[in-house]
Amino acid sequence: MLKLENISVKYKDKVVLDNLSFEANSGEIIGLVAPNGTGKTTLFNVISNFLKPNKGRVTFNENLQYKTERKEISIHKQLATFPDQGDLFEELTGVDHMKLYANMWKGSTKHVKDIYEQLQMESYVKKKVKTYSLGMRQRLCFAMIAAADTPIMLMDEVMNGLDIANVSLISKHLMKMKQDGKLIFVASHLLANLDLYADRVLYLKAGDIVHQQSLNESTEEYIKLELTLEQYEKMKYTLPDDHLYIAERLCCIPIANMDMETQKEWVERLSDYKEKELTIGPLGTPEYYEKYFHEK
Amino acid sequence: MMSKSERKVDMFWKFTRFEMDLLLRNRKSWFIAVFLLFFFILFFMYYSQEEPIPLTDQKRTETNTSYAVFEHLDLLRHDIPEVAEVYNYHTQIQSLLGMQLWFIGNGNDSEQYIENGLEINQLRLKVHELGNAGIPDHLIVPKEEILKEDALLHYIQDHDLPIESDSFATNHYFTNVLTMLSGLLFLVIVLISGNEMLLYEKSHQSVMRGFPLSFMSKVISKVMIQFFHIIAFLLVGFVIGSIYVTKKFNAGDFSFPILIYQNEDYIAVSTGQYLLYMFLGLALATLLLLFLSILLNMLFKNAFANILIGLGIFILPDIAMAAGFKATFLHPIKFIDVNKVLSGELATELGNSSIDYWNAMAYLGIITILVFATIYAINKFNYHRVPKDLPLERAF
Repeated sequence: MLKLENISVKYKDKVVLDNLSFEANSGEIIGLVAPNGTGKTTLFNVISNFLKPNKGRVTFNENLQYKTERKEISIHKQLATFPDQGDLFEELTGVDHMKLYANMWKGSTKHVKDIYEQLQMESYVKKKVKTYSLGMRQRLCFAMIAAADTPIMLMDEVMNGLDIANVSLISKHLMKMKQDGKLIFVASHLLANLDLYADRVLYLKAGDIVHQQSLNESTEEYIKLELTLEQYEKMKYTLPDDHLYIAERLCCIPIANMDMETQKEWVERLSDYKEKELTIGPLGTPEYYEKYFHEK
Repeated sequence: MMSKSERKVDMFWKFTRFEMDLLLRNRKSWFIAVFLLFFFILFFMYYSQEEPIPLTDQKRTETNTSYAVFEHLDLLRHDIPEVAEVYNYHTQIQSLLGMQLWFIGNGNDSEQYIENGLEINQLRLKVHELGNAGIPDHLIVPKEEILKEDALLHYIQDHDLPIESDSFATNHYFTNVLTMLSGLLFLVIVLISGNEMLLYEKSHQSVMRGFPLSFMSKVISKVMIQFFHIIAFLLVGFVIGSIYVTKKFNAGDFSFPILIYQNEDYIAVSTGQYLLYMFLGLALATLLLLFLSILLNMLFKNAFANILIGLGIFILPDIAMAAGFKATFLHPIKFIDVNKVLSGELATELGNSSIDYWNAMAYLGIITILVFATIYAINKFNYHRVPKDLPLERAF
């Protein structure tokens, strides 16, 4: 459905995206993870052609590329981007904003009411945006993109400013959208939340994807224990060669190739560190994030 | 199920409706609307305190001026043969002026008044042919004035109108108010109105960009909305003002004449025709200025630059003239002052007798098309630009 090939975005002394390539298909939610200012928004801008890269190609549905304005319109009919809450029109109501997006992409506003009801916005959606809190604005931005109802959605910082209840509400809505066959990109700093609905998480570093984590496929499990650097140094040479020590904090021992007896031995051995919590399971997005972005 | 083209049109109108919604919630648009609504009525209220000079008084002043000419001619006519000839013509003019005073007074014969007036004009033109010999410069009746008077009298004669009516007064106020509005003031209003047509999108970029709608469709939609906003309030304001002035003078006959300059001559047209020309001209000027605003938005991306550069362009021909360049190619810029074009003032000011209404309208139309084509070309160029050292960010 979407294919990016050798995308490079370079400013004078800064490489933002460096020969980046990947493919994505409908019915997928792809998490995009990277610290601030490392190219997530730039990547979204390239996908939506708001920024022409120095090099590379973006292809939709196997042959549609940004070659003419007419083709761009054909692509934009299938693609909507998540608006920034600072860009909303203060004098318009939430419904006005939703209707704008519904009209521009769906050509109809019939579904708008259902969306704001599902997102529990009835109490304020008909008031002017200038009266909204940050969380209300963020929910409105999500409601707008939901009203656009395009097959491809690019959502940058979608969970910003939302409380736990609203994060959960929007996460559920995202899962529903995925079931409807949409391709959704979500750039978020709520890493554990991504594990709930994302099929894949892309880790962007130095302008390229350094790791691609598939959350649906069976992933390797680890015994995970927090260790100080001192504690780790003491036992480092006794640990299996393929162990990980992430962000000078978390020690992870893979158990895939261990028999039950060896696994038990390791658990018993590590349970000496009573004050630390020992868990068994795959590495989640927060752990990978630390691995790639907090390594010293 | 809508076809592709129907869908496109539907989306265009939905976008237009949204733009209209924004315009209606924009304080600037309301300030402009209120200004246009009250401009005419306030002008009429203020200026209608001073009533126009009655025809009898005008003729008396003319007769007195003519006496002064006599004194100068009398001193020179024995020495210079041309002056003697002018003196003879002037004797006839003086006598006819006296007759005119009689006919609008006790004689009460407007037909004869007109006949005499037409004869005076012929004699004055002959005096001009003789180079106004012996007449001091400040007492010469300008040729334009003679032609205007001639056109006016012919119109009154052809349409069998009274020579003195309050409808002349309403015409006087109409032309005065439109003289005041047309030109610089109107230019400023339109430039302020259109200075953020594209630029406002930059403050709402993530909401507004990415719509599956072509750039030119958006431009047409924006220009259309602003155009109707300005023209609608201009017309409503004028109608309100006209109702006031016609009620006050109890004279709203739109068949009375107003002079316009056409084909290097002055012709009289009815008030209705004059207003039609005037508002059509203002509509075309509005359209041009709105497209120009879009172009300036694209080029300078600054709302103030839009106004300043727009004004700068307008005064460019004046600057060129002050610097001693005739710069005829810059003259069309001044055509947006429709009132000056219609009155022939612009033709005199720029020393270009070919500038009349239809000529100016044709130029304004061509310039509008050129500005539109430039916007189209810049958009196409931006679209097809290939990034070299730096990635290219789309502004709109």
